[in-house]
Amino acid sequence: METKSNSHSQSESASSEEVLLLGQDTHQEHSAHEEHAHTLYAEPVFNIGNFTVTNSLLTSWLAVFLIIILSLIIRFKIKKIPSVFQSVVEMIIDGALNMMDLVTNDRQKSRRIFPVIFCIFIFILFNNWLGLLPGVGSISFDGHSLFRGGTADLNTTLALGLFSVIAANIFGVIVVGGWNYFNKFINLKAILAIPAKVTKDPTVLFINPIHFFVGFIEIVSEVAKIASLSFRLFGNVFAGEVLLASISALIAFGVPLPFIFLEIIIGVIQALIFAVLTLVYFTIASTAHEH
Amino acid sequence: MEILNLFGIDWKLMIAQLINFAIVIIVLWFFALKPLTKKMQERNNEIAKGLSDAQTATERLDQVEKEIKEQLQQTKTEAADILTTAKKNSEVSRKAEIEKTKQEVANIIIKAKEQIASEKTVMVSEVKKDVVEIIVAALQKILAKGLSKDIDQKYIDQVLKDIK
Repeated sequence: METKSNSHSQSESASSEEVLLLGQDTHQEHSAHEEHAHTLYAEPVFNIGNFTVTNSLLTSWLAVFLIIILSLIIRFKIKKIPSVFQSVVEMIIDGALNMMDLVTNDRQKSRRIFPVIFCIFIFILFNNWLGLLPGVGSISFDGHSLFRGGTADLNTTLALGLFSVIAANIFGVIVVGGWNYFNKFINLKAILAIPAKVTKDPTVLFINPIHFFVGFIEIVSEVAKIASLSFRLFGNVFAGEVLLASISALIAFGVPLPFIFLEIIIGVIQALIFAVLTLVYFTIASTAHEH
Repeated sequence: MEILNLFGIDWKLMIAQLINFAIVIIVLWFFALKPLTKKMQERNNEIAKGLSDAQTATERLDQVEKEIKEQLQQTKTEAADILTTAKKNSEVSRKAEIEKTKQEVANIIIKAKEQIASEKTVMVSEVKKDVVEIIVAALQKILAKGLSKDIDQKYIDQVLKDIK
């Protein structure tokens, strides 16, 4: 028993050593690795009171700042006869709306969800791309990278995933109605309908309890949605940064270039996937459940 | 909960990122997307209106052109009618005029002839009278010295008879 636990702790320490090799431990990291250490979590840069500002948060702020500037430029350049810049922006917006119609099949609904979906896309896109800029990751501050892609931190993606799923549920409640939406998860309707229908169709005795339990599975799936959204985005972006860092460490000139292009494309694709999945969740939540 | 430490999950950071995202939504929506989509909608409406206006204008133009053509055709036929009737009328009136003129000319000729005739008779009678007087005077002058009165008278009468 003792040896078993001992071996267990040994394996644990071994695994933690492996993780250490990945640059897990912040304190040993300084000595073990130099600039290119990639930790799974964002590293703290400085503190405001007891709030720790990490390098990912810093990059996110930069992204927000850039988006604000872009918005202001758009705001003050809007004309009835569009400039080239405005035409491009309008083309993107129009394309996004058309794409959303493919999922929702309803222009009105697309218009309602559009701001949320489009902002998610833009925010993630800026964060993804900012992580790829040459300076990001190589400027160090107090032994850590000063910047790190905003979405290369699970905090960011988890926050976005939570937002997306919770907002989809709120949207569902607004569109379908509170009672109907509640019955999607805890299907009291199905149970209450049994006495009325059982004389006409005895099979409801079996089917409706199944519907009731399917509701619980729906609850689990909501949690799974958060996990899949946040881990997918985080995994892709983080892996991209590790890949770029590794390739750069091997051969610094020329060779990383195709990988940078690859990561630029992946940045768009992942932002798109996140936005489209959020759109799908919104659409599913806003369709009335049929029995 | 070890996984949370592994990924450095910190609820404060999550809230900070949520605030970031909220700022992005608010700014992007109110500064860029809302006015832009509104302007796009306005432009779409205007284009639709312009197209429908152009459509009605074209229809109207076609209609007007058709009307003008019809009117022109009508005018042409009317003008042709007027021209033919005018020609007919002028022909008739010309003929009548000629007829009338001929008549007048004939009348004038007749009148002139009559006048000439009457004048001629007057002139003849006057000439006769003059001749008689001249002859009488001449004879008186010639015969004043020689011939007797009887012979004179007889001769004169003879002469007069011849003249008559």
